[in-house]
Amino acid sequence: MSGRSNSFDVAIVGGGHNGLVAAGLLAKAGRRVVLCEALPTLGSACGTSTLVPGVRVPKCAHVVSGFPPSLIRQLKLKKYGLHVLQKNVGRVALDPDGRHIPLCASAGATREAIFSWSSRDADAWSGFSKTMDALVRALRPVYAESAPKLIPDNLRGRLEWLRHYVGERKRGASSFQKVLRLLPSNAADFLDDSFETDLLKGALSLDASIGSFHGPYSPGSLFYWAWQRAGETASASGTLQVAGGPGGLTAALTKAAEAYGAELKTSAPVQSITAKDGQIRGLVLQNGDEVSCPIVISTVDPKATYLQLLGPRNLDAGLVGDVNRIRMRGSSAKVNLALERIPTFPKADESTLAGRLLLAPSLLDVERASNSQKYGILPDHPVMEVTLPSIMDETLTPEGRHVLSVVIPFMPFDLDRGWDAGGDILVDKVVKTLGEYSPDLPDLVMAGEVLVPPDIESHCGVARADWHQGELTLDQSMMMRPTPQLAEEAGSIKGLFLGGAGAHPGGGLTGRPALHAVAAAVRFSKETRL
Amino acid sequence: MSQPSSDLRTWDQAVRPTPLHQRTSEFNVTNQWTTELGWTLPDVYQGVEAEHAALRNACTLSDLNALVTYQLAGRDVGAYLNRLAGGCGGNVKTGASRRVVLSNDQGALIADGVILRSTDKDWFLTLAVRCLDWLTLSASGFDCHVEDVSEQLCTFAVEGPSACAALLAAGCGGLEALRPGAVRLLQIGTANLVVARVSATGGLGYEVRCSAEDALFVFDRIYRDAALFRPVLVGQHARDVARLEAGHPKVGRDYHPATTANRGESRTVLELGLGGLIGIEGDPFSGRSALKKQQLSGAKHALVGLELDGSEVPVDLRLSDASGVVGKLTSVSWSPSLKRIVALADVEAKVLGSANRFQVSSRTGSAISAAIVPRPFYICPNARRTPPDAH
Repeated sequence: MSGRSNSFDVAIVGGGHNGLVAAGLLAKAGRRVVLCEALPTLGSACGTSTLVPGVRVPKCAHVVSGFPPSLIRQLKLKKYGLHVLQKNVGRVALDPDGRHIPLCASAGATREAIFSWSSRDADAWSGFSKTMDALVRALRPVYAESAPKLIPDNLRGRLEWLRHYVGERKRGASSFQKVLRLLPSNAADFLDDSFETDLLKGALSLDASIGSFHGPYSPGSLFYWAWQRAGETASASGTLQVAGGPGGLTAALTKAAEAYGAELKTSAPVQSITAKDGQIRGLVLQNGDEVSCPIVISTVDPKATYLQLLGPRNLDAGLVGDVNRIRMRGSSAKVNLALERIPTFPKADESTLAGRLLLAPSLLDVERASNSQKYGILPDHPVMEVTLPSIMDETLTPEGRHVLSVVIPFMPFDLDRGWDAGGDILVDKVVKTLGEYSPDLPDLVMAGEVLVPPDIESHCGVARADWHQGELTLDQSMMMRPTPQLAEEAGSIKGLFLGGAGAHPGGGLTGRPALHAVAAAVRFSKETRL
Repeated sequence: MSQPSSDLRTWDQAVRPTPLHQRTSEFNVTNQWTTELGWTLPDVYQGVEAEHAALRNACTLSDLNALVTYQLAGRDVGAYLNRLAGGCGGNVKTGASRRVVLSNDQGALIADGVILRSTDKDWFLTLAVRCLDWLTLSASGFDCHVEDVSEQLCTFAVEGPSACAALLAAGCGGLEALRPGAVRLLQIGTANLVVARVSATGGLGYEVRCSAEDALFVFDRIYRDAALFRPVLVGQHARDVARLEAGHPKVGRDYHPATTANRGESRTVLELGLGGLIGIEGDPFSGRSALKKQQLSGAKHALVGLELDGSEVPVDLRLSDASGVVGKLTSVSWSPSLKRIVALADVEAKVLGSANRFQVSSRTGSAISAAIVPRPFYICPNARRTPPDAH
C-alpha cells in the first residue's frame, strides 16, 4: 500500500460507541479519520445480538443512559436511522407480591406507591429527592464539561474552580454543608437515615451501586450514585431506549461516521501505538499495516492504551506505576432470554414493565451480593436490573414473543471455581430469582445466552468486564481520571488522547469521553498547526 | 556469606559492621566513626591531613561498603537502564562502566551512581542511595530483574598515584592497561574480584569488589603485598574532602534523593549541574519531558562551586549578595590540594545572571567574599593518565 493512503489526521483505537462518536465528529469537521476495531463488529458493549433467528436482544448494555441530545443533532443521527422509542426510562422497585414502587415517575406516583409500605417513608420521599438532587446538581457541571485541572496554573483554571464553588455556595450554607458531608459517605447509611422500607432501600441501593466494585455500605458509594445520576440528568432526555436496542445507536453512529467520510476498519486489532520524541507517529496493526497520523484517540482502557499499545518504554516509570495502579474490577454478567410471551408480574402493567426493573429485596441483599465480587464466589441471591425491551420495541422480536435482558452486577471476573460451570449455575440462579417475581417466567424461556465477565471481555471488548474501564471512585474520577497526571496533560506523549470510559467522566453510553477527547484533539491540532 | 552462626543479621546489630570491620577497627586509632545507610564506617583513622595527603600522593585503602550494589539480570537490561538512567545508562560495553544519574518523572535526582558491566551478562548498578522500590517500579514492562546484592559483596577502594602499582604487587596482573572507567575480572588466590577504574575522589583509583566471605583475605593480601607502597587507610572525612575537590555532589548533603526529600528539597538533574550525564535528546527516560520543559523555562536553583577568600571555614552557611540571602553552602572545606576554601552552594538561579560574587559571614561577623568557579575545583593529573608500570 502506498504511504499516502495510510496517512490520516486522526486514528481512533476501538470502535465502541465512544470511538464512533469521535470518528463521526472529527470526520464531519473535515478530518481524515481511521477507526480500528479489533472485533469483527462495531459497537463493543453497545450492541444487539441475535438469540434465535428473528429474536434480537441488547447484548451488553440494555439502555442508553445520558446520551446527549445535542450529539444526536450534531451528528444528525436521526437521519441515519436512530429512532428513540422512550425517553427518561424510569426505574421500578419490583416486588414479588405486586406492591411495586416506580422510582422515576412523578413524585406523586412514587409517594403513593411508597405509602402502601410506610407512610413515614412516603413523607420522607420528597426530602430524600431534594438531597439527592442537591448532590447531583453539585456534580453535574463537572460531569458535563471537561474536568477542571487539579492544580490550575492559569487564571482561567482558577476561575473555573471558583465558578463551581460559587455555584454551589450560593445555594446556602446548609445545602453546601450537606453536599460536602454526604458526597464521600456511603449510600446505605444515607438510605437507612431516610427510609425504613426494605424494598425501597434495596432497589435504591442497587441503583446506587450497579456497575461498581463496592456495595452500598462502602464509603464513597454515594458519590458513585450521584455521579451516575449526574450523567443521566446531564442530558435533557435522561435514559433512552432506542429502536433495535443499543445496536440501533451503533448502527446510526456507524452510518453517520461513514457518511462523513471516516474509514472504519473491523477485525483490525492494533498492535501498538508508535511515538517518537514524545510525539505520536501512528499505529501498527497486528496484520502489519501501518497508519501514520499525528493524533491518536484511544477508546480502549487506559491500562491497555499506555502499557500494551504505547508500551512502558515510552513513558516515565512513575507514570507506569500510576497506570498499573488503576483499579479495574467492577465487573458484571449478562443473561439474555427469549420468551414465548410476556411474563406475568403480579399487578404490573406493560408501562411498568417497560422501565428498568430493580430486583433487590433489601439493602442487605445488595450488600451481600456485592461480597461475591470481593471473594470470587457466586451470590446465593443475585440482585439484578432487568429490562423487557421488546415491550416498546417491536423490531426486536416476532409478534407476541419477547426478550428479557438481565444485568447482574458484582460478578467476580475470576471466579474461584472457574467460569466453565459458573455460567450455567448463574443462569439457574437468575431464572430461579426471576421465577420468584414472575412464577410463569421459567416456563416461557425459549432460548437464552449468558455472558459471564470473561465473555464480556472477549466478545464485547470490555476489559475485565468493567464498563467504566476503571472503578469510578472519588480518587479515580474527574481531574484524577484515569490518573492525575494523565488527566492533566495526557502524560508526556503529545497527540495521544483517551476518549473511552476510562477517561472523564466515565462509563455508560454517554459519548461524553469522546466529546472531551475530540475537543482536546482539535485544540491540540490548532496549537501545533497539524 | 559471612554470617555469624547465630540468627543475628548485620542489620539487627546496633553497630552494623561492614565485612572489613575487623580490620578498620584495628586501624582506627582515633576511634572516630560515622554511619552511612546504617553501615558503621571509620570517619578518621589517624588524621584528616595525613589521610588526604596519602590519597593525593601515595596509596590508600578505604571501605566503600556504604555503596549500594544492585545486580541486574534479564534480556532487557540495556533498555531498562536507558529508560532508568538518562537515556544512556544501557550504552555500556562489556568491561566498561558509566557514571549515571537516576531521575524521577519530575526530573528530580534520585541518585547518582555508576553502572558496571563486568561480563556480557553481569550488570551492576552502584548507588549511594537505596532505591530498590524505584528500580523495581521502573522494571515494569521490561524483562529485567533487580536484586540488592550489597550484603553479599564487599567493596573497597585502592586509590592514589601508586594504587595501580600496589594492586600489581598484590597479583592483579594487567591492571596497568585499564583505561578510566574500565572494568576487569581478576583473581587473587582463589578469590574472584571485579576491579573497576572508578574513583569518586578525582584521582587514580580502583574499586575492588569481592564476595563478603573473601573480604578479609583479599584486603589482607593487598595490604601485605603492597607494603612497599605503604598503603594508608582513609576514612570518610578525608574522602569527603577529596570528593568535594573533585566537585562531585554528596548525597544527603549537596542533594537529597527525590524519593525521600522533603518538600522543596529535591533538585532536578539540571539544577545540580549533572546534565552532562543524561542524553536529553536520546532515548526516552524517566523525567525527560520534565527536564526538557525545564530547559526551556529555566531552572529555579543551581548548585554552584565557590572559592572563598581567606582560610577560615565559615560556620554560618548562609550565602548572600547585595539583595540578601540567596542560597546556602551545602559542603564547605579547606582544600589541602588547592590551599584555599572551596564549597558547593545551592543558590537561586535568578541571581546567577547578575552576580558571581557572594558573601558569607565569618565567625567574627565580617564578610568573607566567595566567587563562583567552575567545577571540578581540583583536576588531579593522574586521573586519566595511564599509570606508570610498577617496575
